[in-house]
Amino acid sequence: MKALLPLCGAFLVGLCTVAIAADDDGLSEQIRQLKSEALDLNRDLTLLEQELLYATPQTSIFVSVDVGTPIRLVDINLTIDGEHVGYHFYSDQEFEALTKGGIQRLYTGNLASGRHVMEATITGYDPLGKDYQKTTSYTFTKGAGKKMVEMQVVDDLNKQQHKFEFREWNQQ
Amino acid sequence: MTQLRRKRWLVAACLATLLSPAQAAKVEFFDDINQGPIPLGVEEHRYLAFGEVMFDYYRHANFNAINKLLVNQEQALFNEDTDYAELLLGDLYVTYGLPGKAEVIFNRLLEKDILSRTRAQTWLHKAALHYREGNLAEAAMILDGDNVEGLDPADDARRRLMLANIFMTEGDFAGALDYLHSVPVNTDEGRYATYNMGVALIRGGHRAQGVALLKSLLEAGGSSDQALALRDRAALASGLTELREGNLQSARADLRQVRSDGPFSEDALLALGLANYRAGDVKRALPLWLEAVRRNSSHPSVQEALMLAPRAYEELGGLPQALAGYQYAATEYRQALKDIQRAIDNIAKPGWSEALLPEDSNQAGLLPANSNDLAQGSELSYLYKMFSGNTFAQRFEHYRQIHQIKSMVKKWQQSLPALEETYQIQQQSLSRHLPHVRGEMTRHMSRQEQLALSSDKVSSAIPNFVDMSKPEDVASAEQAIMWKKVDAMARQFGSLPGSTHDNALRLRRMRGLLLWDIAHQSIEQREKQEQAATQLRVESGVLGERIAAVQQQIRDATLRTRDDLGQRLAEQTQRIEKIKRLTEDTLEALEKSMQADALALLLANQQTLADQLAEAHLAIARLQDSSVSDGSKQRNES
Repeated sequence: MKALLPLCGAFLVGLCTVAIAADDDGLSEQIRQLKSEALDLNRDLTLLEQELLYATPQTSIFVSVDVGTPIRLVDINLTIDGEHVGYHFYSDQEFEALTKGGIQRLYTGNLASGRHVMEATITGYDPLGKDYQKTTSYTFTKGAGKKMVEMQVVDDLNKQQHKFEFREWNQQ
Repeated sequence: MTQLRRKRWLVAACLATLLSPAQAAKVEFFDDINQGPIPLGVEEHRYLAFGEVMFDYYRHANFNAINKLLVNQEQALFNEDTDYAELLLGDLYVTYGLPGKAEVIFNRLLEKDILSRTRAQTWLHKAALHYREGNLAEAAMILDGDNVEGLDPADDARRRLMLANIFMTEGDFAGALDYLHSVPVNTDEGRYATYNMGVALIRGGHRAQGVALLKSLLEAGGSSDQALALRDRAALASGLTELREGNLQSARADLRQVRSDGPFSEDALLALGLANYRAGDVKRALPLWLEAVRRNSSHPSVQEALMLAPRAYEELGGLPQALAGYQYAATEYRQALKDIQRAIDNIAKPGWSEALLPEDSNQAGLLPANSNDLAQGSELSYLYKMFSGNTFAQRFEHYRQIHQIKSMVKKWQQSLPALEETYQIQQQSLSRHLPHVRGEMTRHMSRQEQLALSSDKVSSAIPNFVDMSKPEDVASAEQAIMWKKVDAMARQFGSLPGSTHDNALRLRRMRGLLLWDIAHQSIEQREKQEQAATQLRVESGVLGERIAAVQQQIRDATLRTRDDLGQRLAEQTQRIEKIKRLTEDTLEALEKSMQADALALLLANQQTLADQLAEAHLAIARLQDSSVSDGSKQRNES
């Protein structure tokens, strides 16, 4: 029976874990070099891809929400001129990222110049957990430069639901 | 205009409320506040770009966040003036295991004239970097200095925690406590720091202080899984310490607070049984150990309890139950040994490390993707033990990140031929269509200019008053046709058949009535004309914008036909190949080292289990011998 008592001590030692890195084996430098080169490669290829695909000024649609909103956004469906161009289902982590001030790019593409109608449908839960769906439409005109549209999903405190506000930028 | 929109909104809202009482699937009219397009300045562009980075940062997609920052840097959107982006990039480099790059950024920021709060945050990040690298003296010097004054409360709590941990590591418990007291215990960070401090104090010989800190956690709030698990852990650590000191009542009180279905329940059952046993209460110890042996036999505490339960039966005189218990223990040990052997065989198989990776490549957690499969082979419990070690966990984190690089390289390797082909198709298509488009555009441009001039002309031709000397200008289409007929008849009246006096009077009356009708509707008609002219001007403007957009596209396309993008894309093949090779080598090396760690742990467990199996067999033999000798004695006596 006494033989079991050292277990208690060993257990205690095991419980104390203060996280301080001490990873200095031979691999460390190789890992650092690889990570650094991978970041550079990814950056360069992203730039080349953008240059190829978006040679002409593109249109981007962004989504943001009120910081710290008590209302949960579940998913969003986006159409432009009646054509479905984007859908996103928000995981808890992604929605939290939005409520902390993150902005999500929901769509980027080459739209023809002229007038376009975007329609967004969101589903969400109100603070009481009741689900609902809302649709809004917005008209914008694409000119010669880049077009950026931010759709802010903000709290409608009276209805305890979301409402939409839009901001639109044109690159001159 | 705003008032008009509000009115429309109100009408629409009322309509919507009346028509659809249900909350779901409601279409909202006019609640979009259109402020109209504004020019995209640098700050607005940065706002959107940094928002995107923050989205990735907060969803823990650090690789994507770094990539976006680097891409924006390359496009000169973020530069040395955007301190916030620099600071975040430094922080991300630290998290991603590139301390050298992070330090360069922090040093560059500190040399600049930046806001005092940003400066303090930069120093804090630099201290965190030293702390992670194990340079505790340098970290402490920064954290305890004036440079970090002015931090916000959350960052200041982080600073105090780091200092407390540094003092703890150096054995200066009084110093650590000073900093720890000011960290709120109702936060996860505060609770963990208090726990670490309590355990460190006990290990440093300050038992009473340490136990008091651990007990304080039992009263602390928090209902998350993490908070409850830490509370269990604190109760267990406190109970074990009290048990070792012989304070059996106190030990039992603490151990009873560990949840029976929590992650530390097996350890608590074993320890509580021991406390009862040492208090001479074997009858109370037995049910606890019997409960423990029903649990997963790969747990070390359950393996201990397998021998303790029959031993308690033995002391209570229940020799048949004790014998059955030892036999059960031997069976369980043999099964556990088989499980370990299976785990050892699995580890030796290629791709073992890959099976540990989480499904979501961004997830930094340590739960393997196929945990269910592993749990069936009881391998998972051994793996958890490995992950609880700092070295293995760090090595695995590198492995996960490099695996992410491998996926990224694979994706680019697949995409690159498609990108090159797209470029070729673009080139061919542009060469074919551009001359025709250029020619057509010249024609369309002059048409659009004429249209714009005409629409302006129409707009300016509309007078701002109603002139009834030209009734056809303010008449509707029907009225205009009628007016034309009546006017023509009046002018040619004498030459027409039936030009009598009565008909002349009739025609005059009709002309008067028509004129009155036109005059009566002229205001409304003029408004319609003005609206149509405005609409025409707007449409003409949109057409102008489209002409400008197409011209821009022609310019871009012309540049595309002359650029060297194809060559630059082709050059990436070699880079991808090189990084692919490096990735595979590094993954192989990491896998080998993780396999070695895992094997060492499993072999140690195998040895312990073999010893326990031997002990169980000895106990079985001892009981069987005593039963035989008792039987002989009884036969001799009779």
